[in-house]
Amino acid sequence: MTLKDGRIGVKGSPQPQSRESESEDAIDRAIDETIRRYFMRHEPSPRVYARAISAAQQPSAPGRDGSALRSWIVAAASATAALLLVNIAIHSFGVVAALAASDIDGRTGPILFWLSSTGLARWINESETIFGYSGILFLHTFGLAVAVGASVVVDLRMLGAASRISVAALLPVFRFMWFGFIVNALSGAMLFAADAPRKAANPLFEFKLALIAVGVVVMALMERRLLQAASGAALAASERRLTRLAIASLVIWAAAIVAGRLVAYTF
Amino acid sequence: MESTHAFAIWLKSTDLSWLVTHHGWVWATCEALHFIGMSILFGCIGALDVRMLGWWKSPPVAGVNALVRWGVLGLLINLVTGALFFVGEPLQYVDNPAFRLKMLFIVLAGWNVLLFYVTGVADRIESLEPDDDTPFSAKVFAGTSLFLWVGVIFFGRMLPYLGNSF
Repeated sequence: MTLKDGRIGVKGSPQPQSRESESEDAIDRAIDETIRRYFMRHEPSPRVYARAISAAQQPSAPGRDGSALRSWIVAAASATAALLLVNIAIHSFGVVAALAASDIDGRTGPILFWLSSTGLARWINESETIFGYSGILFLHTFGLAVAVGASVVVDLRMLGAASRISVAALLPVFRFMWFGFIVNALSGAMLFAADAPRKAANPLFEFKLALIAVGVVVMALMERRLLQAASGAALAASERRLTRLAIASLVIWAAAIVAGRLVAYTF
Repeated sequence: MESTHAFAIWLKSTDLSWLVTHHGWVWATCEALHFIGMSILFGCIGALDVRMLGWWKSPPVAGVNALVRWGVLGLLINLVTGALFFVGEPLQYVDNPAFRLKMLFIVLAGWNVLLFYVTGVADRIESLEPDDDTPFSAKVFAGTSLFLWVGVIFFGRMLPYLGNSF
């Protein structure tokens, strides 16, 4: 290594002649300038920067609290949805005939008859008090209002309403949503037990359950996305997906309500 | 009482009443819309109620306030579909105690909203930021609102059980 005129040269390499090196530097600078200008002209959108920054900031893979549980819920709900959809596909050819003939015995097994003959089911049906069928039906309606109402709040925010509510501030709404869902899972199970053979024979009932399973998956996905967005990652990258999930959620809950109402009328 | 029944019988004789009851799909569609409207109304108004009660303190009050107009949309859906039920089968509602209590609770809920704005409590909490606590008066209005709307759902569900409607 030699130090000459403030420049570092490598021994053995041809000594740079000052004029040549100056012109070479000028060419280098010109190339740099051209490249710089090219990139300035084709500057990437802020969204690309945001995505790059968020990717750089994202923690490698630390398990967030409860994310495993959520994954299990999503997996279980997906599996239920798949099973029910397959079930519907199998039954759908016999549906019209079953409805016409009300052929309950042919489509349901002994387990459902046993279920409807249990003490609890008989009590739900025969109790004249408010704690019987009518009270459980009220709980089912109340849970619907809470669960779907909370979903509607989240969906409206994701579709641009009430934009002063930050993404992080939105997360507690899911607690109300899950509370309503649990109320309805329990009250729904009791209503089913009270009327198992007929409910199971009604294809609309299976369709309703499938819709609810899909709806729950959509809400779980939304909660996970919002958690990621609230924990620092840029929202921009997942915003379009959240909008799509919000629309899907509104459509699915509306369809589930329609199916649920029709279950009450078809039998 | 006599005039109420006369009105109900006249209502039953209208073309609109015939339309609602003689096409199965009209009643079923209105039922579904009534439940959808209920979810929107209860979700959006309930959101403001739980914000005021302090069960959901993370957003600013003004942010949650922006949901109220959507709650009004739910209310409108339910007023229209509810009116169609009444026109369709007026006689099963006029003497139904559950129906009267439901209407009473809706009127009380409206009265509660009116007082909430007239007394200036709504204006006083409008500027509250995230995690700010609301004054006691706001909590009373919010608790009353939740109680009344849950009551409306309860008596709506009880229409066939306390009374004779379907």
